[in-house]
Amino acid sequence: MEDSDIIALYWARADHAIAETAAKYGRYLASIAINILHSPEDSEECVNDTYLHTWNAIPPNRPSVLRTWLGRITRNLSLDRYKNHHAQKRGGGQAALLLSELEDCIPAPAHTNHPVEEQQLAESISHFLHSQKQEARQLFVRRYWFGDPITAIAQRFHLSEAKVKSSLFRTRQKLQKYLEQEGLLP
Amino acid sequence: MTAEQLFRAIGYLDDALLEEAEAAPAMPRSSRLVWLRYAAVAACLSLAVYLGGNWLGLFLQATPQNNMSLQQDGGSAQYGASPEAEAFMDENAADSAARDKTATDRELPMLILGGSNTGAYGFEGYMAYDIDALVSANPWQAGSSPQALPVYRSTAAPDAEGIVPKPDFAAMQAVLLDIAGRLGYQPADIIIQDDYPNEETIRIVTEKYAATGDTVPPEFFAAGMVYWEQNGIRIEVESNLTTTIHLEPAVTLPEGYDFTHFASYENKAKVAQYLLAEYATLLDMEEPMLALEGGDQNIYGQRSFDIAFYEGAGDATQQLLHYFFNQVQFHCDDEGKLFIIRLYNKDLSQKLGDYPIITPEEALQLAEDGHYVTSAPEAYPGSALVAKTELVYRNGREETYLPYYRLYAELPTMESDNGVKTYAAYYVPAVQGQYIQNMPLWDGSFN
Repeated sequence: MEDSDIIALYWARADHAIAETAAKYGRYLASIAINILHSPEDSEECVNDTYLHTWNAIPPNRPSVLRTWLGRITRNLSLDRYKNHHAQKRGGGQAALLLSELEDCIPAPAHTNHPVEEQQLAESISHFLHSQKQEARQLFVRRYWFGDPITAIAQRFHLSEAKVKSSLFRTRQKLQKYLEQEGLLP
Repeated sequence: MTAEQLFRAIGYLDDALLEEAEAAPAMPRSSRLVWLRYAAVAACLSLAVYLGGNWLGLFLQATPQNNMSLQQDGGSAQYGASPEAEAFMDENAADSAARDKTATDRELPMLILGGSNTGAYGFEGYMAYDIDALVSANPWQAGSSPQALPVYRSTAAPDAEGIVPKPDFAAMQAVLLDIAGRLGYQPADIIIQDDYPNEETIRIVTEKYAATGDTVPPEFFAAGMVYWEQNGIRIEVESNLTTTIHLEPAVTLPEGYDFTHFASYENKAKVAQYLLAEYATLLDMEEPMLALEGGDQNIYGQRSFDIAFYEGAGDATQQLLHYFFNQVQFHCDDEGKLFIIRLYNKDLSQKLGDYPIITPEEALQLAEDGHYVTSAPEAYPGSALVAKTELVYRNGREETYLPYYRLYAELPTMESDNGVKTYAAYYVPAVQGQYIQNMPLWDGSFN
């Protein structure tokens, strides 16, 4: 079913909107949640919560790209769940590792809870990535948006794990400098 | 700024970056090697390659097991081919034609795997303390498995655009009348309707679209199901001829029968015997076989078993086909009452042939080499962790119904603190590799 038809089902409040969403994107969303949480039970609940959020959000929203719109919800819900589990000292899946790697982009003096405008930051990072070589930015997005394990990225791109890690490291370093230049890091 | 803020901001990268990352790489760089490896195997077996006007696949010489009766003209079928396969064919067309110009109607078409998007949420993993807790009624037995099994082309699979073939309303109505007849209703009493929306629904949807400046897509209001309802019974037939009988109010079973979701195996077996006696006419089977299976846990530690029946008459192959494609399932509601009966009726009219199959041991080796499909989040953990193997037909929205070996592999990383294990499903095509044009190679993502 086309995305526009699925969105139309939500607008019509048709119950099978969720079933159609699950059929088309369930596995994709589960892969995002699993990558972050590494737990089938938690991932299942995150994906279910994604459908609930979507049901509540459409209407009035009309996503231009349903796939990524859904993926963002799952990703945020997965991070929320990770934080909840982390507070309870339960397993954290890959999220802890991903966050640890992203610490590289934030020099110690800037590591505060000082709020940053999320949308502005996202636009800056997007702009930065567009300036990078294609493979480098693809590796970065696979790792930090989709949460893919290093081994999976290496297999997907037919690179050694060492090369993937090296590329990600260099991109993180460049991103830190870019964010500093943009004034997003004090 | 914190790493979490950065992580959340990355969530809002622009769509172009996400689409690029998802699309890349367009074709796995190694798939060509895999393809060539299988082509080489085929060559070693003196299997000829033929390129005809409408053919894109490789056709192989007949085998002793091949007693197929192709439905297509001249014993051939037309298939799409991956760019890799097409490139290979271009490069080898001359050689192929020179090697074999003797294709006969006894040849088996090459199979192209894929086309399934049946995944819902989560991945196919079964939680249990031990593999023996998982109960299957699969009639397949390793020791007496047929050496060749039929493969079918689905007539209901969505195309590349996700559009299902136009429903055959005459066939759907015939099925509905048949099922209603088995329940004792007379055809003259049955007025069949379809799910084309009523005027009020059309008006509401149209207005919603108009409010945002859009028009309703023309296919939005297309009918895709027929139904009949009367006095608390509603029979629905979908375009794939799956029939669902809704009972409203739900049927209360006599005292002494426990038909609740998490009733024990023994209690469900007792319920199954009652249902078999009560609905024998609906089942309309010569030798109804009970498929009482399940036993895995949900996240709350509850085990459940599902009740289904299938036709047990016929040889081992026919029983397999009935089990996987023509089950009748009985479902309870939250109060333990019977509220849905579902009859599956897959169209197996488009047979591609009887294909020789590999052994379970060969399937394990293929899995070791990465030739499997899975929804599990981890790579195949190795055959030492495979607790169970069974032959199955994947019968969702696949374009081709063919047998696979389902390997239940334990994932040690997912064992719970209380000792509950997770057995993930890894599927290896059971058809011999030389008949598969795009042997799967796990790429580290869900496939």
